[in-house]
Amino acid sequence: MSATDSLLDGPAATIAAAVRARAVTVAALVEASLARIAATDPALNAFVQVCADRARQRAGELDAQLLDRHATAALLPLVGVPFAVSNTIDVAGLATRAGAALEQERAPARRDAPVVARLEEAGGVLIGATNVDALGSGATTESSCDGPTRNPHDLARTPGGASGGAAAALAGGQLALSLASDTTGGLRVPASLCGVFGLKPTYGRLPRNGCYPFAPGLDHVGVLARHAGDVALAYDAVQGHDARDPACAVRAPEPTHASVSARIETLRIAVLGGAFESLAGAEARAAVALAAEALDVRRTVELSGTTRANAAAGLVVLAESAALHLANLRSRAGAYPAGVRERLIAGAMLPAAWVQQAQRMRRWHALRASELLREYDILLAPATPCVAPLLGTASLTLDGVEQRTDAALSALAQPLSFIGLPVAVAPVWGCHPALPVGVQVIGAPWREDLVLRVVHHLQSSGIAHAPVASVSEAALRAALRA
Amino acid sequence: MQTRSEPLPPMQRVELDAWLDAGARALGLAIDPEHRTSVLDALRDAGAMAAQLGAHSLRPEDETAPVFVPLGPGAAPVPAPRRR
Repeated sequence: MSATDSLLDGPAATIAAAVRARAVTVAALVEASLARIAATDPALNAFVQVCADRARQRAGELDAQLLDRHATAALLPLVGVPFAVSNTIDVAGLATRAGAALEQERAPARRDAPVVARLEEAGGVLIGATNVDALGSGATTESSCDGPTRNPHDLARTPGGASGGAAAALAGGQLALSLASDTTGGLRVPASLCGVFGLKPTYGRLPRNGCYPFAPGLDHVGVLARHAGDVALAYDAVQGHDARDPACAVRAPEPTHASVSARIETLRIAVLGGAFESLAGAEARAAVALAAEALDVRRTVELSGTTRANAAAGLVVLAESAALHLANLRSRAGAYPAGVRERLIAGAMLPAAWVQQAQRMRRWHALRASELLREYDILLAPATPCVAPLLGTASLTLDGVEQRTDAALSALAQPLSFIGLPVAVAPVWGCHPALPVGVQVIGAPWREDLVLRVVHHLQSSGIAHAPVASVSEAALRAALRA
Repeated sequence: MQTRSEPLPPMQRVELDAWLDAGARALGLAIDPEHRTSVLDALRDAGAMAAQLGAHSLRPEDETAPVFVPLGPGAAPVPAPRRR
């Protein structure tokens, strides 16, 4: 493996430091990333569009600027770091197709979404757009019209979804950072199943204009990386108000990276029990237990009404997503993927009283969480009830109840995006012979600094890590034959 | 204001059929016969979710989560100048 290849496997912060020290050119990093994609993506199918020309042009610009010793480019926190975005996020010149056949004729975006532009302003180099479940609805990335993405740690398994391509690209070592969407767990489920770090910030923290909507009342955008510190660096780079997103809070950026390695001893931390425990399988419960031990946490508390909140979230998501698609459901219902189409049609027919009750339940549930967060700074819960299921798994049984796989994989993530709390995912290994499972580190609104501090501690203590998968030639051939 | 109700029994197939037909007509949706059974399943699932909420007490002062915020004159996008 070349020095550039080794660098690509390392932290984004180390990549930027090497670029700054002129130990590597941005062009060499971009070529290494493109070569990895060419070698592994026939099996992984993480990417739906690669923008090699744009990446090479950006690399050339940065390398030229870096020849000047006084160049401001050297000060950029993510200078030369290759990144990707889910294909739910606008990239100028690429069509935001959201994995959906009915969006195949969509015109290319005219401009980058603010989060993409900000990551490039911080020195990042966009490599391409990654695969998602159709319309951003799903938790396995199998419903994409671009075909399923495979989990780099076991090619027979799902990477999770909806933003499975973004996490698989990281676990496959194709690049160092990704941006992804999260409505009911779209970022956190893939982080858990692919074994990478992620942050779904507080609802309203990051601007979502330029992002394909699924259920606007729950839609978030967030960051994935293989190192907790990198998540903080990228998150800091994309913070800031944008009035074009009606949900984006008028808040100045609150940087997190400088304090990510601060001590955690003073934080009051508890494990979430109740439904977060009963719906989780043995491996997911073991992951939380390992994290709790590393953090010296002995208290278990319950967030009451979680099961009802999940039901309320389901109704709100159904109603909001149906409203977005009603015109197309009238004229092009056949273009929708089976399963999604039927749920959208049902969502359009919900009695208004049900949806209003669900929105009242949402506030009631948020107040219960508020009470808990008065007592505790951080809560821990599994991110998914299990490790990555095999591709094609139709249903999973949680606490004795059989559920659609999509619903089951999101069951522990959805209640938290419903109330907009910031959640980071720490990938924990050792609870299954070969696969990771994530732990959600949950904080009070606007305390992304604390959740990132805790996941950084879990990484430093060796409980959580995000290795690049070794995708062997034999495994690649077998996957391609399948 | 009464906000708690006994959970309703699950809807029968004939009731789901009537709901689907009335809803499709009200919304101008043509339901492909091949999709009908799956839509009925989704309506039944939604009904099960709603039943979980119906069994929970909410007080009249428990307002909904989304709260409207009035928008000032600065909130509207500025129209692009017309080309001559």
